[in-house]
Amino acid sequence: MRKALLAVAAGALVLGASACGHGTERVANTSAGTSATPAATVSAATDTTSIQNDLNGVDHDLANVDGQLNQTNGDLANTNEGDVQQ
Amino acid sequence: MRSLKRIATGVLVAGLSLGSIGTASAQVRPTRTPGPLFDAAKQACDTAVNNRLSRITTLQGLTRNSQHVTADHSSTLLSQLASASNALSQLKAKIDADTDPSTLRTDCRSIVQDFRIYMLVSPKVREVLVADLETAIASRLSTIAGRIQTAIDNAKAKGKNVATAQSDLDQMKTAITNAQSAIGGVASSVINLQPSDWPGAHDTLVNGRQSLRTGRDDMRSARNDGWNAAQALRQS
Repeated sequence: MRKALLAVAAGALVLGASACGHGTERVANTSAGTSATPAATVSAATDTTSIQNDLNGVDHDLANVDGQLNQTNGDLANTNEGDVQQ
Repeated sequence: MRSLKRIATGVLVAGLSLGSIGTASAQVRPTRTPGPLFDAAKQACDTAVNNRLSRITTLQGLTRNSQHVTADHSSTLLSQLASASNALSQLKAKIDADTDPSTLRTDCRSIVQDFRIYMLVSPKVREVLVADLETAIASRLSTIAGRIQTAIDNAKAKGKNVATAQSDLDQMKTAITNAQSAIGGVASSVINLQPSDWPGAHDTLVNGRQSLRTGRDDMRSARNDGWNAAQALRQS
């Protein structure tokens, strides 16, 4: 009974530690007792995925730039002042 | 037929510079009594003013809603737009009160020559907003490049071959620097352009737009280089 309680307590500590961690640390803690190799792999994949997600956000901003520059093209084409001839 | 000729002559004499009426270069006879054509010309001028006021409202909205415009630029643009809006409204009131063709013609010309809302103010505002947006994007890309460098360094420390990733990242950094170089100075070169700077202002605006295009293209390259670096890192 005592051994069982100790095992539960130890398990709770492990879970608590992994819940408090974040990013690559959390992955490392979680995998520490089971497998040594996946931690770095998962970490790198997570980093690069996150980076590529951010780069997709840049795409969105650049599309906004495209739209504004297209509007400027129309302005500079000088077609709209013709409603009042000089 | 004779009455038609008289109407046509009246149009030419009025010379109100409006496409719907006739030749702009005709002589004005100020003593001529205003009639339906005069009222039509006045209405056309009113419409021209209203269209420009509408454009100003659009530009004010773009400026207020921009998430990246600097406080200084926003303040300057909104102040300029408010001044133009007030002055155009005053001009509209004057046009409504005009009683002779000569004055109306002068006031209608003023709508274009003294404001240049479409050809100068509109592209100027957009270029300043785009310049600030591109500056923010370049900063964002720099931050991402820093994260990629950290990831590469970590992978390298673990014995990974990161040559390809590093090469892609170096290209990304160069592209960001090129973009910042292209963008820098655009906003300050156009933000204080005034209608009195026309026609020279046109070239300044065209050059500004070209620089912003270059900056955008450089950042698109930087984005792709960053993507390739992340991809190479994942496969290393």
